[in-house]
Amino acid sequence: MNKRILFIFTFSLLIGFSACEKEVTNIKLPQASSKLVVTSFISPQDTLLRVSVVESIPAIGKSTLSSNDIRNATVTMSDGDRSVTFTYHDTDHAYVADAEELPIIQGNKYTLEVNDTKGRKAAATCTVPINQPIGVEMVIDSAKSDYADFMQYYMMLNWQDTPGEINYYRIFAEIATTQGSHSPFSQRVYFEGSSNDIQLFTDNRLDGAKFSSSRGSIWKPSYNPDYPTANTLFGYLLNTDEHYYRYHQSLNNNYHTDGNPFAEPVLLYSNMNGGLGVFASYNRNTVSMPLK
Amino acid sequence: MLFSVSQAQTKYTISGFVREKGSSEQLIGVNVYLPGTTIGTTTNTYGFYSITLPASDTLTLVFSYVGYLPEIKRLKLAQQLELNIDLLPEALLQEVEVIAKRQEKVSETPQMSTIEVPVSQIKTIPALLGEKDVLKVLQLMPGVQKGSEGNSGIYVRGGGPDQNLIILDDAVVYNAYHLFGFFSLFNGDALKSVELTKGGFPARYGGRLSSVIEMNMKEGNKEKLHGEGGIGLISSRLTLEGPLKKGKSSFLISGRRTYADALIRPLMPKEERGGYYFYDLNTKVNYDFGRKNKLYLSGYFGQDRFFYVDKYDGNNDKTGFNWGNATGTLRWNHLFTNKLFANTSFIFSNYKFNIYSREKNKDGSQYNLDYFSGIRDFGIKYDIDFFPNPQHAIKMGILSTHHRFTPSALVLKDTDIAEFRREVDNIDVVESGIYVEDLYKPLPQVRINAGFRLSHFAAKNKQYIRPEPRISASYSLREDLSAKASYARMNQYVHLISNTGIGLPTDLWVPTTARIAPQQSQQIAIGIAKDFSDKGITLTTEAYYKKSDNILGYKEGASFLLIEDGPEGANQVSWEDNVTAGQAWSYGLEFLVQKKVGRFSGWVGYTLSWTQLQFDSLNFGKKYYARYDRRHDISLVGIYELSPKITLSGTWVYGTGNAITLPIGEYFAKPHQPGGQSGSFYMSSVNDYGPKNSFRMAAYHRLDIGIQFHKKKKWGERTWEISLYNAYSRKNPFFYYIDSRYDNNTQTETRFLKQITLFPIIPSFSYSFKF
Repeated sequence: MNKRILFIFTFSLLIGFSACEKEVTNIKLPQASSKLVVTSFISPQDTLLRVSVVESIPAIGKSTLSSNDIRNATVTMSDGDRSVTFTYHDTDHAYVADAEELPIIQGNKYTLEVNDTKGRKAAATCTVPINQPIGVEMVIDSAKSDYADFMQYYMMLNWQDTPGEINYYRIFAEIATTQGSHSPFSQRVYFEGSSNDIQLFTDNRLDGAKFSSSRGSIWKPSYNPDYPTANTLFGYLLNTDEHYYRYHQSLNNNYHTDGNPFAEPVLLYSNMNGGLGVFASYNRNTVSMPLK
Repeated sequence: MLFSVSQAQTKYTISGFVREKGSSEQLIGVNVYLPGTTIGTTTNTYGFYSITLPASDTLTLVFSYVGYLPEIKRLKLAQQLELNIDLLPEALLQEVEVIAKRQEKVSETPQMSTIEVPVSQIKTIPALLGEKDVLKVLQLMPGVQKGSEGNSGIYVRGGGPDQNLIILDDAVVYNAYHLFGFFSLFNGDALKSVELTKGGFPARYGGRLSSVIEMNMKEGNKEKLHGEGGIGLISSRLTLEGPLKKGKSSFLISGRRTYADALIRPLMPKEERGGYYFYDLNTKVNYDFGRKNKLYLSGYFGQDRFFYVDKYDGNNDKTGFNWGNATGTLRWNHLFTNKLFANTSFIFSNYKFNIYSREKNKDGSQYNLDYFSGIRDFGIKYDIDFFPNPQHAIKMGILSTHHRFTPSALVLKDTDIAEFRREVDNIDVVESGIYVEDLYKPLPQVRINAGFRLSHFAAKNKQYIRPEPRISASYSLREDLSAKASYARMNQYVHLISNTGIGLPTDLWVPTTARIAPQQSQQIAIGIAKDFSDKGITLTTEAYYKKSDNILGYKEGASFLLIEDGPEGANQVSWEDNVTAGQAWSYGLEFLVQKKVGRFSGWVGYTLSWTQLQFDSLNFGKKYYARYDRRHDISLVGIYELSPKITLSGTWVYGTGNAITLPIGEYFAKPHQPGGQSGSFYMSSVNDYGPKNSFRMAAYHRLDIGIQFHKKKKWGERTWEISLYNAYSRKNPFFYYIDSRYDNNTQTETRFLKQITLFPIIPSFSYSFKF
């Protein structure tokens, strides 16, 4: 009796829980044509304006995803009065234009339009936020590492939100190292919490509040001691527009749920009419401090 | 006419309890009425009835209940009468055609949107792996849907599984599922009644938006020892009930346990031990102090455990996770007068989820890490039933529950670094409700159940008080045909934060806070109920519209604790940041033809429905169809007693596919990189999804069939059951994903959509017995 139950049990488990797979043909399949993916972030602090143009592929079908740029598109940006046409630069992997040809001025509205030879068109507009945060400061602390004889630096960025308006922020920090006559080398500072995230803030529920970043930490770079080395810590507070915030927020969410079949799918934010990607703007505040 | 109303006549009250002959089990919802009139009442949850009528020399009173022989009493009513009735179950009659049996008539109650499934039917309907499941049978009813394949979660009129109030002997059960939702934790052998209300809620219920599933455990046979049990593919069960003191006191104990862990143990290495099992145990004892006082004590205990033990070099490592519910209810029935019945309940409920890792090294050092989450309730409930005259039946009561939520608790003990840490994050709140309702019959054709509930919720720094009007009414158009309408407003103060909505143990109950407001719904329903009394068939059709506000959704990309994160990853989740409030609209049409008794019984249900959601922070603020929006849903259930020895049963279900989000394209998305490294963009490949839930999975349909062979033995009866789940092996989709194939010849990649099917045809068989 017991043996029989055991047999049936095992048998049922085998056929029951070994889920089967098959190709789906009985529903309306996702249909989409390849779209232009345009990405550009502009700010008054830029000297070079950059626009990246790639394309998406349909989720189903025979095309292969590539990171190759679309090189033969027409990319124009205008502020309503002036307009500049971008040229593709191999080394930059982007369409570029000198900011002097189209100065990015806070409060102004800009339009970006991309047309390619296949007749695809993508366009978006954004308005450069007016730089508002007050009292941007960087606090630094250092300590010997628990694990090795390295010096570890801790830093935080603090600032005050302007009340009465909606603000969006992103922070970023890095150590730039110059050694001898080599060109500077940068290393990103990782912030506590979700360290791979893009650090975003909004004053949605905290209008007018004092903001503090979480604690960022980085090793003091150790290079060949024969050369004189200078390390500078740069903290950036970007006062961004909503497109910038929502786009990066959705990228963060996408990063978190990558590969988790149970999580809510993340719809990536886009303000690009006729395409994907984002055209967004920000105003940059920089604080820097040499590291001993 | 047997009875005529005359104001001058003196009135007397007939009251008593209605029980099952042979077991003295009290019967709920027995019709007590004067034949040929609409005057009557029904027994309450404890089998008590009271009816006040003018004095009469020749009074005929009928007691009738589905599945039992009706009892007709001819009385002379000249004084207050105490009349206890024992009804004979039809199952005990052999080969007797019961004539003139009267079913409970759906056309005669103002209550609508209620579904009652006889427990005996639950035991006959074929089930996955032979595990009979109360909640899965409810999923076969119109207006009630399942989520995903094989899952016990219940979606009522577009509401999620967290919007169902599941109560077992007055105690709320917070996580009603075993094994990730594949089985519910209710054991049919221990249950006396199961009732689902999906709209037009009476005022006595509150606290959830979409449904009330009320289950009552049997009290235990007061006359003789009785047992029931079974051996199935995945579990065995045994129930014993009987008198402790004959006629006065009885007990019931019912247990179930799975044994996969025991079966695989011999196959594992000696030093290692691991596996999974669940068990549950229902117990109840009661004492009858006489007509005036009765005491009931009931409890449920159940757990799911995954464990792994590794012994090596004198070290001992244990890891695993487990979750379980415990409920306890002490109830005291007191009869103040023959018109006034009172019940006091003391209620305990606890749900706890635990992930642990315990290491003990041979040098005596220890490392223990435990993560807990859960909810614990202490409640007190006082209810009164008052039967002043046949026109009115009044219920009122008060309920107050102290909830202690533990969204996360971490206990760490590490003797190597002499660390002991205990981070417990308890939230204490009190949820209360006070209600009154009156079942009022102003005219013979009109019945109204009007009620009002005031709910109150007190959290730290924040209080909510919400009025909840409820009304339902029926109007008899003809004999056996009535039109009904209802309105109900509901509030929900506790919320389920879930990764998946499929009943994982990591689902977290959290309270309303200053930031998260109570969920609220309003529902109106209209319908028609028709009884075909001669055939024992009832037909109900209902249309409903439900609007919910402040419902909780999960932000895009929200993910909560996952098991693979282990205890260490558990503490970093702030649930308040992961949820967002929105609104929902559900409307539809339901149709049910049901036959509860007879050689051929079963039902046909059809639902046409729409469910839409809108959240400011999801789908860019645009309305979308809920995942479980189901345009068409059909269920056919049939049970046929071919002979006293053979019962055939079958179910067929059909449902429109779930609304899902599928990628329509893929591309590289670039983030902005400020600072010195601005020359390089780092890229990740992302999906282009298009609007949320804009695809439909393939329709779901499935046929289950079963055959039972009964045989009477000297000691009782045994049954063999053979059943087939998904008899024609329909490949129903569980989920879809995009897969690719690389062709070396053409050097091209082709991507296509693939589906995973969970259960093809699954045969099972089981053996059960009763004595």
